[in-house]
Amino acid sequence: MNFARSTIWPRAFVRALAVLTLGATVVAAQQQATLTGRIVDTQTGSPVAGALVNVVGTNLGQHTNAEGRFSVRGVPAGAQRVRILRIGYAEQVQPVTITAGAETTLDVRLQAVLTQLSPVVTTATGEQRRLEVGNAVGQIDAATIVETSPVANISDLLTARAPGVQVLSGGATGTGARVRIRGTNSLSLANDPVYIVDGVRIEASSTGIRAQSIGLGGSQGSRLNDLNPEEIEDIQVLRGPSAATLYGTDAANGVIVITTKRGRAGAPRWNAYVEQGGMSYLQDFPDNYTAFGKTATGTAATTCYVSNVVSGACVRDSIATFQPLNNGETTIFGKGYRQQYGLQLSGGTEMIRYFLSGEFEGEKGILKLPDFERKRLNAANKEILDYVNRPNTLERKTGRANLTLSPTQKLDLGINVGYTQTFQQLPNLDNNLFSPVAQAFFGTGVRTTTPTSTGAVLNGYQNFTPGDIFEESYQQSINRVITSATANFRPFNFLETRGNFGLDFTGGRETDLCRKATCPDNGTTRQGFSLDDRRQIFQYTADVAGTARFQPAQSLGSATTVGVQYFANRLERARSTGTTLPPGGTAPASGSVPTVASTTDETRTLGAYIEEAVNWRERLFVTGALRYDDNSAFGSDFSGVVYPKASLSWIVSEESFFPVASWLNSFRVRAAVGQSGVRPGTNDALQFLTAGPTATARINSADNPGLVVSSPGNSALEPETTTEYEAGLDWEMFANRVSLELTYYNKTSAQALIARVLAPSGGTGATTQFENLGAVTNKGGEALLNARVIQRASFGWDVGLSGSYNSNKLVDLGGVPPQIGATVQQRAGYPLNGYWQRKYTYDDANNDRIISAAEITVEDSATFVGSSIPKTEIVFTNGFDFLNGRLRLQALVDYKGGHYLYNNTERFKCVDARNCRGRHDPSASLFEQARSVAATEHPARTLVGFMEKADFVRFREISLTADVPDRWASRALRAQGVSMTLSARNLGTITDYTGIDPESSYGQADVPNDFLTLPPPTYFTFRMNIRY
Amino acid sequence: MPKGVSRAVACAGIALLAACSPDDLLTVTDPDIIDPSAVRDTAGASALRVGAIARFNIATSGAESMFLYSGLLADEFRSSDTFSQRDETDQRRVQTSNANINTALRDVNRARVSALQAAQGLAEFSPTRKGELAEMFFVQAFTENMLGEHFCSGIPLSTPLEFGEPLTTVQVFERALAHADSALAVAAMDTVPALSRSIANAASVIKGRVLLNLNRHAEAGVAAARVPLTYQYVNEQSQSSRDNAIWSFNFNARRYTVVDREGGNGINFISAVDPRLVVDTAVLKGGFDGATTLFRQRLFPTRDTPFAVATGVEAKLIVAEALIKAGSGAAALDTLNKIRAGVVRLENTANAPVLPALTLQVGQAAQIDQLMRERAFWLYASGHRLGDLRRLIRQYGRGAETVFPTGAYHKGGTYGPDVNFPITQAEENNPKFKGCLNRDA
Repeated sequence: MNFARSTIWPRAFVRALAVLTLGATVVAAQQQATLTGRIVDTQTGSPVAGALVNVVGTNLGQHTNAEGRFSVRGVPAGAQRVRILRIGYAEQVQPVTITAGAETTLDVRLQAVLTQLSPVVTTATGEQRRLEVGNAVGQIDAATIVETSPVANISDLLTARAPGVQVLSGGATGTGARVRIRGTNSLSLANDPVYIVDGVRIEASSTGIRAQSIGLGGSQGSRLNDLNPEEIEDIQVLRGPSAATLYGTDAANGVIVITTKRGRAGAPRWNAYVEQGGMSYLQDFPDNYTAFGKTATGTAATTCYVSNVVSGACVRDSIATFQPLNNGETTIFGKGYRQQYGLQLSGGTEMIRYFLSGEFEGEKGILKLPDFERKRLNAANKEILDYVNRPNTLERKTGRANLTLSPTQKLDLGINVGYTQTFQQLPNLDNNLFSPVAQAFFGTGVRTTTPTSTGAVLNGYQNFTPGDIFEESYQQSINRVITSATANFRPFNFLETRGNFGLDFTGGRETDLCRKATCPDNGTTRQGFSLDDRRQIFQYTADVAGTARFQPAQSLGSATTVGVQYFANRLERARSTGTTLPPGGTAPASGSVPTVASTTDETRTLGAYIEEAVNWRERLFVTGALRYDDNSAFGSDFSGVVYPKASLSWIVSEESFFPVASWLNSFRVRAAVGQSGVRPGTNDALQFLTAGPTATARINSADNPGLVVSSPGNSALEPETTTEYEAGLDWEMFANRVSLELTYYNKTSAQALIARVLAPSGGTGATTQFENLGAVTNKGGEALLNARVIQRASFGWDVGLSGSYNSNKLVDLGGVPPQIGATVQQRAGYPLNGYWQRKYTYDDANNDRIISAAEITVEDSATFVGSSIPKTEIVFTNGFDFLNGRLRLQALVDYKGGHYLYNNTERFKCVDARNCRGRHDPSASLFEQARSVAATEHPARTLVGFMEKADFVRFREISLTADVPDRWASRALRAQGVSMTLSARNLGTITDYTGIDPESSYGQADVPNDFLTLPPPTYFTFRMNIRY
Repeated sequence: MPKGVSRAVACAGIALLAACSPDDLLTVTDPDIIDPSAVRDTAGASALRVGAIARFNIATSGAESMFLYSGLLADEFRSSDTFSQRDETDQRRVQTSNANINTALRDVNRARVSALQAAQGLAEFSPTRKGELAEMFFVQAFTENMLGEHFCSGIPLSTPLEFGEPLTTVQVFERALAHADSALAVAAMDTVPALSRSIANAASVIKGRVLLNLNRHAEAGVAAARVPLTYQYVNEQSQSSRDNAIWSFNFNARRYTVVDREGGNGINFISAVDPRLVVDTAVLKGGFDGATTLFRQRLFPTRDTPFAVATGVEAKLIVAEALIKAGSGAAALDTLNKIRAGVVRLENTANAPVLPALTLQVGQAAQIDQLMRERAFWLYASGHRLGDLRRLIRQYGRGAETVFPTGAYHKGGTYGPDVNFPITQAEENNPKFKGCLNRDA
């Protein structure tokens, strides 16, 4: 769908906004009154705090305070309807007659229901009733989850909580996660969703220099995990363009809207919590094999591969197996330790409400100095530094102050400030010569006694030992402030204006140090080096909008919203390196060869939108909107883009023609269509030259600066535009004890930005050039079922079942030849990033239980093996309440399937380290033998045997939460309430995948690759919440 | 809030928004990139020339280039690495998807195109700097010759603005010959000849080398004869710009090892104990793969050891081959022995090794064998060996199985049939590219 583009759009929007705002000032005031009341729970009679009380058809409303009370001033006199919304309770609409100049009282009793869905969702145009929105919005009740589940970071909070949201977490402490919503949209651009915190866009890249500057092999820190889950009230997931259109360019991959906690009017409420936990690996790791023997023609010792024995070139003596990671004395894996202490305070008055929070979190990862190395260093009287002893640690201090001011009934002002200080240590990991995991997997089948030049003994590691490896100190320090100022001004009942202004600032410093005569003896490493990389990332947000509500007819409501948004993201980076350090030297400047580098990267987006939402009798809601965007990264020949959207929500069950059924509470039909985009990179449209090391030549013993042509540029570059259609059905049934959501979606990324490979013969510095060429589709469905199966005072049982299916296809490559990699190909008609390889069959024709190259038949060309991304995800949760809800046991099991994973670790062991079982052990399965032989001895060298089905079921979470009786809590701690939770995460996995773990993934890129990556460990935690 | 205040706030907000110009809000300045207008003057042209020399360095001795890869495909190096791209090259089974070869192919073309762009800039903005212009023609000739020597027939020579038609190997050499002639012609016009004299020698060497490839030995001998024996066109290496890649990948990273009699037909680079190629035979460490024995060459023992890419020694070797081809075996031997009598091409020492004189071999075939062995030692790791093996097949009627490594490969399987490199898959993005026209030598 293409729309005319014009640069006059922003000014038109500004004028419209002016008309709305100024027009408000000339409308005569109506006669008004005050509505007060109290909201309580029907069954318990206890006050319901945080319920939204809204006068239907106006912007008048208020949240109830801690005592369940509310007071809404300025309500127009006459007959009104008041709607009360609160998660966990059935929506109520109460008629009320307001008398001019008098105070009207309305007390309401709310019926508790089982639902995990909030009745209010946050959209680009503000808060809306969920029922009015034509999309299924994923919701995560963060505040509840963190108190009762083993959640260490945002990644844990997002994992398996919302259908269509796939999270692939890192294994090492502090490493990040890859989040994808409804599949992979883009072939060449990042597929990360946009994150909004309290109305402000934040930096949350999972890859690249914004995530981390120094490559350690694949494991990267995560800026997303700078957020503290304890400070979050709820998370809402807008899964695609049909819901996220008004968030503009960048929102094609979905938007994750995070709202932090707010204070509620009432007495100060203290909440203290303590968490202690540990983690470890419960599994073993694949052994290394060595078959010893002698040459057939002599007595020389040699390694006897199975094929050598069969060919008669070798006579086997014995087979040895060893894996340093499985041996107590040589392993780098120990017990990790986690601690968390937090204190939160909230409260206030109707005029000033506050939420204050402070927390310390520390995690000592499972990596440790092996015992044999500790003994060596102790024997040598060598000091064992902390980072050598425990090289993977995380310390995080967070603080938050959220202040809400309501000086008048018409004005709310908010100031939200969140601060995070993170200190993290990571060793080299993953695909890295100095990764101790790699060194362990590449060793031989014996616990070798070979000494290294540093005095260590290998003990089964390939070339370098962990004691030397851990001497390289990598540290990352982050200071981050996410701040926003919000204003919500309601000059008239029909008009609401609001503004969000914010800055997400990240100051980061990364250092990488090998002191002189430390670290592994490889090349010049022991001459010492020091690297200091400092970054500042500024993410600015300005968002101004106004909404005018009208009621042209008795049964017709209208809301018109006009808004302008501005986003700017700027990275400034300076990096200094010094090599060949003197003794004691640690700073880059102390090196004999210092080098410097700097990077500046900035992109800006200016957008404006208008949305018209009409409803008919509060049953049928139709919304249409347009957004215009321009961006600094668009080509000079391209002026801007318009994204349209439309949605429909129809509560069919409220129609008179709809058959009445006692079991059905409500039935809704919804549909939506919308567009959004993803912008190209900062300089992708530009033709430019580069200087620096690539262009520097040493001539006559002096370095001369030169210039080389780098990028040819593309002045016609446009954003990649994704169009999504979504339709769904929602049911509330059996006295609201069962809710069901079904959603179908179909989205297409057209004008797909493809990094077209440039022909080498062109001699360009750039290897690729972005062009708007192809098309990618993602089609699928999502389902969400919540049911309160048993609800009694003594026992309750609730279940949740959610699932999603996504089918991804690269529809068109736009004339570009297929992009063919060693294991992954991009071909039209197949999924993005799918695995391709020459397939084979094998047959033990001579029945010797040995597969030789001659017994393998390989296809002539590579064909599609399978998707690298899970197609299906199913999450099953069970909760049991005992003792009138004071004791709750809940568990979460999830399944991912329909995909393959490249077991690159085993491939490397067979092909390069030559120590896999299939290569040495004649009793290995024929499958293991065949894949080794096919990759190493068959001329085809096919790797298909290492592409394995990776379906799995993971016992993700289990927790037991007990509320201590109030009198005990009061007597022992003088507290209002105390709860304790015992929980565990990643308890076990059922899978046929033979690699380390079906969720091991090297890096956070879009092609999963199990390559020497730490799997997620098992966490056990104990948590205590104390409320005052 | 009083009406007046609300009105004022609203007006201020609108005024603020209206005052913002969308163009200003979206203007971004990136100091990391340089606008093309920066090279539209004399200084810019000089900067382009420096950039071209930098890329020439990367394409030859300053990065993992065809110098190393061709040594791997031939018999100069063995892979002691874990990367399959190097292993398959060593095994003579190079796939078109080989990312390492793709990068090396890009680097050669980058140097070629940068030299072309610099030559255009120098001709327009610095017409009096003949030496620099001649040098850019030399770089083009050298890189085009590299492409012809190492890759299969069907090589496109594109520019960033125009896709090139695939050229046969002979057509590529003829293009290189034309650029060598241009270098010589421009250098001859220089009135300040310090640089031009040097470039004329370099151009003569590359012209002779191209003519050898074109099987025009007599002309090659004539072209090379003018070059003094001690002449060197040197790539300078430094830690602050880029290391000597032979040192990096063999000595430092241990991904390449010197190899002895690789695949049966290879030269005995280690056991010959030749002073032109000192090899550490005391094994201190294994290769990067932890399994292959590492032999380090001492020709380039430090990261900043300079690298001579065109030398008087090579010129004399060209002359000697022309003499053999002309039937003057004795004169060729005399030429070879003059080189052996104490002239340096060794970058790591100021002292020239004095080698015992060679004896006259009987018959042209034996004389060629002797010459090729001399070339192998004098020109070790400088990107000549693969071209020589191909010429042995193409010009001297040898079978591939008699000159390339054959038989069992040390990491399993057997050597493959490759005698050159395929143009990599990325070139398919050139719509005129048809793939290798053939994989013949």
